[in-house]
Amino acid sequence: MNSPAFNNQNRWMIIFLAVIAVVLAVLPLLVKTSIIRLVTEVAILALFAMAWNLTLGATGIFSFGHGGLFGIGMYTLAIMMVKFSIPFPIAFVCAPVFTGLASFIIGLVCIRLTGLYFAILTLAFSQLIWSFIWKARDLTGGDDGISGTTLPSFINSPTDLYYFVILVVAVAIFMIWYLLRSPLGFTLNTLRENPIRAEAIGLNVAKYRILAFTLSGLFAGLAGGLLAMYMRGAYVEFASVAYCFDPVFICIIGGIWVFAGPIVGAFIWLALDHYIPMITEYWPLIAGIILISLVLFMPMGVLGSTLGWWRHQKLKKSEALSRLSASLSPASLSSTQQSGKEESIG
Amino acid sequence: MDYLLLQIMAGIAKGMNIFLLSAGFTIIYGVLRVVNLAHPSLYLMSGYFAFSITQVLGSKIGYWGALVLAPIFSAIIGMIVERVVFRTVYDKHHYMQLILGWGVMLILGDIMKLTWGVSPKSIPVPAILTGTIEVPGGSFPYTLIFAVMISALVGLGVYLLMYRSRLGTLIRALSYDEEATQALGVRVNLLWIFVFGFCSWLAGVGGTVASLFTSIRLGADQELVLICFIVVIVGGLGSTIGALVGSLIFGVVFSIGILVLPRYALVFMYVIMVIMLIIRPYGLFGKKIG
Repeated sequence: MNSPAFNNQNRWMIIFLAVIAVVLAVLPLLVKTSIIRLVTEVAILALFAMAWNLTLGATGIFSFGHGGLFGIGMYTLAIMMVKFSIPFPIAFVCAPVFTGLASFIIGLVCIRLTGLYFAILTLAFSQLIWSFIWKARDLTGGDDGISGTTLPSFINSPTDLYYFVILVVAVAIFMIWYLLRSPLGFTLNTLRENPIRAEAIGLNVAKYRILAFTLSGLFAGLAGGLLAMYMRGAYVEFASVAYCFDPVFICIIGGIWVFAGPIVGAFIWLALDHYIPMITEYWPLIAGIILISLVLFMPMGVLGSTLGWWRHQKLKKSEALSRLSASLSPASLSSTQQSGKEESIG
Repeated sequence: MDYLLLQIMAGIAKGMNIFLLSAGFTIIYGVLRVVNLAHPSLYLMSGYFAFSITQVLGSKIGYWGALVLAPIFSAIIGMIVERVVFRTVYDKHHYMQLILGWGVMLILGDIMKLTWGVSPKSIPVPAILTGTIEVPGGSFPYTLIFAVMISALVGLGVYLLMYRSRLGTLIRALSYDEEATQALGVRVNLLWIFVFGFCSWLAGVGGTVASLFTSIRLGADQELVLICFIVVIVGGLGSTIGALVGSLIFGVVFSIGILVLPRYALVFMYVIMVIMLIIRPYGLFGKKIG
């Protein structure tokens, strides 16, 4: 039955996106540069978290190794531009490509294991990458990092960088959205829900998991490249354990199973990370409490719980309405109630 | 060459100490199916407890009092953490346990920072343990010998508990089939709390002993998490023997690594873990648990 609710929702979504686009476009005219830089950082982080969520939210595999992948993206851009003077367009494309390649190889190795073992193995690879970055001073600058990536000629100010980043991130997120709505996306969801059954109906679970991990690494590398532009260089701490944990935190805050969850999470997390250390030096304590509270009480994340609550309200409302109409019409009380329920769920 | 022998001996001693940490971790996983990322935090915390206790009790009996009391405090905190945090997720996805454990680790870390401050602490070594023994290659401290002795003693105790006592049989029954054990009339809830407390106590003993030869500092818990994971995965999750072997391998590899490439000693261990996971995914002694 063609429920009017769906079309309504679609229309609201388009309006909402249009508003966001307008706000993002005119933001530099309204706020000062430091805020623009923060929003740029949020966008990069949101892309990173989105990329990571391709592993857990979409496919149900938990990767603790995206810190290393992020670092590969960052260092690819920086090394290519600074050490080898490769022009920006090539370096910018190579960042996600190399990271995708690396994550493909890592995925091949790790995918034979599941759950906890997969998480630890990816963490181990991330640590190996991090150690390599530390050690290979000639190539990567060790713990000094690489500084002095020149931005391409069309970017001359933080505002220019902001527009570039927002554009790239928007396109990337759109690609992820399209991917998740495609047959591939639904296949990944199937794997997540019931891998045994997926195998039983003939899906090659390992192949799809490797594919998801590779794509995830690709977008993470893209985010890394963008951060190299933002930071004007590459630094080893972005491949460290901290950046393995951060996307997890961000997605838990925002909601793993909601598409826009990582975006909301990135926003909230960066705000917290920026402002809480100004108030207290015990940010980890607060972070830990938030984390535990979220997992115990709001496992769907902020966005997930909000949407869930909203849908629950709509359900209650439509249920109340149908009950009202059923009580008013004397004929076939039970069948009216049943069809009312079907409509509100659909 | 002699120096290498000394290093290896020291590595074995430290490995034996890590065994206390990893044994608790692997038993919690094997019996309760819980991954407790905050377990090494209890190891570190007992070091801090030991520091405070030695401050209070003075230098005569200070350390021995700490050896008795600090692990008990760790056990209590472990049991509280289990009740409050892990209770609800023990049958959910492992990743939820990982995230919760990480949250607890952050909280405990900051509690330690709040209570004891940021500067590293050290404990005065009791008179009977100061001094060294001459071995080919150099002098080997009594504290490390003490660590080996304590770990061996406690390890023997764990074996006796698990395989020679009724309680141990019940715990092993719990690891095989919780419902059946409950159907026998066993108070599984209490058993659960006991296992968690006992394993936290093990970590506590490890941490208190370790404070004799390492400094107690913030951030050690995060390093130890990685080490603990490597050890139990190489040895096999769920297997206490595996924890022992894994810890010893770690001790030796790490100490050799420090001689060869000091900064990247841990990398050797990572490589071993990766190889192990590829050729023998469940570790040396691990068994596939449901």
